[in-house]
Amino acid sequence: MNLDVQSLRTFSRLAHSGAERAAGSLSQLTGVETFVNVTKIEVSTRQDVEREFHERDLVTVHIGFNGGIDGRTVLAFDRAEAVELVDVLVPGAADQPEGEMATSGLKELGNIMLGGFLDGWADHLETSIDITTPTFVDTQTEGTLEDITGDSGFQMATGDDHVLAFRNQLETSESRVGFHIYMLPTHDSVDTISNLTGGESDSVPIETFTSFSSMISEGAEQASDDLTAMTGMESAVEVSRLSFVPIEAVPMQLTDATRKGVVLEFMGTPSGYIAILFDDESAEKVADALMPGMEADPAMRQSAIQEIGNIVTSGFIDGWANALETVIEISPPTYVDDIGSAIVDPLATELAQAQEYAFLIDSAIRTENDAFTCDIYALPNESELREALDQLAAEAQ
Amino acid sequence: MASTVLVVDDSAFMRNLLKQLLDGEHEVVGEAENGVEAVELYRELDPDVVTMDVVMPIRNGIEATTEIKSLDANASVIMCTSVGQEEKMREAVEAGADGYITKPFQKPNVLQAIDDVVSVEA
Repeated sequence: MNLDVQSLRTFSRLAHSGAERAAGSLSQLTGVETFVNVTKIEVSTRQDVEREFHERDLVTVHIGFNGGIDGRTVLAFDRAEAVELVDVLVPGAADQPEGEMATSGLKELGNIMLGGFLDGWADHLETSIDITTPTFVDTQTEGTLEDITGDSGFQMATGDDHVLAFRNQLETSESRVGFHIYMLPTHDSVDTISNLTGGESDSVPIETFTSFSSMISEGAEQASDDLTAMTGMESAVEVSRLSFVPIEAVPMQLTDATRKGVVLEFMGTPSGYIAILFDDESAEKVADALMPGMEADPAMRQSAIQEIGNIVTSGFIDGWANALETVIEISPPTYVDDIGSAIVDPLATELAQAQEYAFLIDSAIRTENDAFTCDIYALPNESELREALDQLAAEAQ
Repeated sequence: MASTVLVVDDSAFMRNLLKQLLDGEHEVVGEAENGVEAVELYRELDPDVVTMDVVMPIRNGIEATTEIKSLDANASVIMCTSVGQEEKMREAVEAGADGYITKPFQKPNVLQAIDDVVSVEA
């Protein structure tokens, strides 16, 4: 299965318009205005998706689809929050969030939203897509994606571990409930969509994307090890992923909370920008850990944060350079202290001069006791990353 | 035997950390925060060892190492950097670096690297 950037752009537009239909369905149903906040495409593995369901304690509604394209869609949400919304549909549901009435309401919610989501794809592809009845899945207690067969007996034939996940975040104006819609098409279906919408010239095997994802994970592990070595606090990678987003959506990946950290430019194949960010409390704890017992002035604390950003960046990127047998130069770190979206906005704006969509790499490193968290956002130049992926693909042959 | 050391790093924190690591073992005779200052201070102080960061503003550590080595072929320069790219290490060796340690480093690694270059020089 090959992917090309043109297909990814089309996928992104389709997923976004599908999510807007889903949001419209929800608004009509509940009278609660609903917005599509972010649409991302992630090239990941089935295990990654399953792990996210488990770790975030999400409940899900699954619908299988077949016809023009095959696969499954999943509506995922925090149960307590979603039940509040269902209460609008089924008054009293919130009194027993685990009860049959609430579960039934959630299934219907999923049915309507995911049905609307898939209609957009069917119309664009000028095909018909049949959907199964919804299956409610509590991911804390039930099996893996492969095990979930649904009320109508559908099965997910992903073939192997590669999954294209189309992730949409929806928010309502009143309760700010966040929903995520995942679309997990089969490999054959991705080929079908690619053939209908993509170009052949820049296609890359999907295995190359997942190889690069593995490199990102390894880089994040190295960065985590470096953080542990510097601070003496055991840390681990919580999440690490590669996604494809409209460039204007990049700043929306961060909240409006204040962040401290560094921004660096990297130059080579690929070039781009990287931000290493801490929340205020984490930044203080990291600075304290770097200078134990020292009365450090603010300038020295800032320097410590810059240096750790520098080291984390190298840990993150050096592995790419070594795998690609190239040099990726890294600029000196620039200290930043601002709201998260404002830090990333100028980086996205810079890239937006030459590209409409961005490959976004994001990783989160966290200590076991939540002493600190460190978020890494990397924005490689799209065409240069494609070159790098081409090189990886060539080396794999 | 204690050596005189010139510490070159654009990070005040890292210069401070290196001074602490070397305290009581070697004498830090100067600090520079970019490659230009490093070359000037090398001329002025003639240290036994230079610990050299790679990524710095104005002039990077590879360029500064090349210049220091052209001034003094016997200069001992240890790259102390977060950059762990193999190609970068080769560039550093080509520039004449005598040692290469990557951040985050521990005190024994730094002391060992200094001992290694000083013993070769002796």
